Amino acid sequence: MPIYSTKSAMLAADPADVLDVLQFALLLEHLEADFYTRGMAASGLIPTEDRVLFGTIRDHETTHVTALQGLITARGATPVAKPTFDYTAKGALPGFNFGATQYETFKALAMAFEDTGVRAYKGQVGRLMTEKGVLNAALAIHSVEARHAAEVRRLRGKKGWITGNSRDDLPAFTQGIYDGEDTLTQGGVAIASLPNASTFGGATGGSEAFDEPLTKEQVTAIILPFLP
Amino acid sequence: MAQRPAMHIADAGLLATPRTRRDMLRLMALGGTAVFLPSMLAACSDDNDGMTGPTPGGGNTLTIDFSKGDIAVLQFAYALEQLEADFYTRVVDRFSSSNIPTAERTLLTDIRNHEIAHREFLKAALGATNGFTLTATYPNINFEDRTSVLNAARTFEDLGVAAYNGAGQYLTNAANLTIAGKIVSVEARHASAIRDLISPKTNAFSPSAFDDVFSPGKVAAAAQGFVVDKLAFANAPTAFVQGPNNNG
Repeated sequence: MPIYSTKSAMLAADPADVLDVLQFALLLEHLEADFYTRGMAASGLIPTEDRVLFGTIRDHETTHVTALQGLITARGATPVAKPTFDYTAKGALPGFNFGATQYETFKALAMAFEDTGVRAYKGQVGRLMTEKGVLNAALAIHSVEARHAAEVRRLRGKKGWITGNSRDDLPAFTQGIYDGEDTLTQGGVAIASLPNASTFGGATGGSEAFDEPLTKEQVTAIILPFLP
Repeated sequence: MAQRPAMHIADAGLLATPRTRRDMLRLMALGGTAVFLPSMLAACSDDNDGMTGPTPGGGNTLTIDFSKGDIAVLQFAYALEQLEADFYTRVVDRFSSSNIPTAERTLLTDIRNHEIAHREFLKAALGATNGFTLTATYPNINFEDRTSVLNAARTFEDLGVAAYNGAGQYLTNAANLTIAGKIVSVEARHASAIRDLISPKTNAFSPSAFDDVFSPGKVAAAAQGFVVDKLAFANAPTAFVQGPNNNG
């Protein structure tokens, strides 16, 4: 069982691999930063009482972009440029353009992006184990994305955590963001079969208690509709 | 560097049954901070008004021995999860006499469930050999008062996030790092929700673009205020790589 292993089982994490993670993370942060920047700039979209909340998230995502660009530049590489994103998701959200009547869609997309961000970083940290400074930056961002996710989810009247593989009321095309979140085996331990499972709500509490990673390929499939 | 002798948590079973007084004294002398004995202060517990309890750090020494590698990191997490699970269990158990509104009771019950799940998972993962029981104490928490409960919850959740983030650098197995990641983001969701209950729709839910990355020593010092056992490390790593906030 991996949890007992004290032998190093590090993934091959050569410098090129770390750079690949950083560029991948930067693309995601570009998406988020651009989304919130446009949302905050859109006239009549975000109600006054929610502007501090989304302004905070926008500022964080913008800071993440700057930080990742700095880490990439420091490695002698060129940071990926910000693409022109398609927030209709290739027509899945027809007509979405940050319009004044589209706040519900904006919040739904925010939830989708934040829950994706959490899973995306979680899936990459294993490739950063040889560079502790970069690992720390990724972890420090990862948990902030989780704070954002919970806040946006709760703003939408949902629980701050993910139950099973439920996308709640998000459109079907977002299901890939939640697939696998119902995992109930952790480090070889069958969570819902633990002796005291009834004291934490069994499969419901057991799935909520653990967020799950996504691979780079899975995340790429999720964000592909938003790319030009 | 030579490792100094250390009694491990796993040796508690041996230490619990000294055959003679001389054995007991010999065991207690070992390493100074490395002895784990059955709780002797449990009998002193006085929690009838929710405001008092055993003195933090007044109990027996609970040592995490980092020569165990990833297991030690998971033991450290297990200690924190025991504390969190115990805290929220007390919160929920006091609902009948607390001023916490109904909607917040649902949220706090969910969090209790998650923390118990974390605790029970780590208990199963570590097994009897590497397991231990931590005794919590809450000198300044009124479990019947919403503000007191939420402020304490915020402390625990933020500390949990910073602890997992800071412990990641000591994990050598990628699978264990992923498991820590699975837990820490749920702790961050908790922190966000609790903070938003305290200060709705402000920037409180996420006060910084980067969460804190705390060294185990910093975390233990903060957690000690709520733990009867005297927390100690053996063979603790000397190097700690700071996170973006440079405050660990």
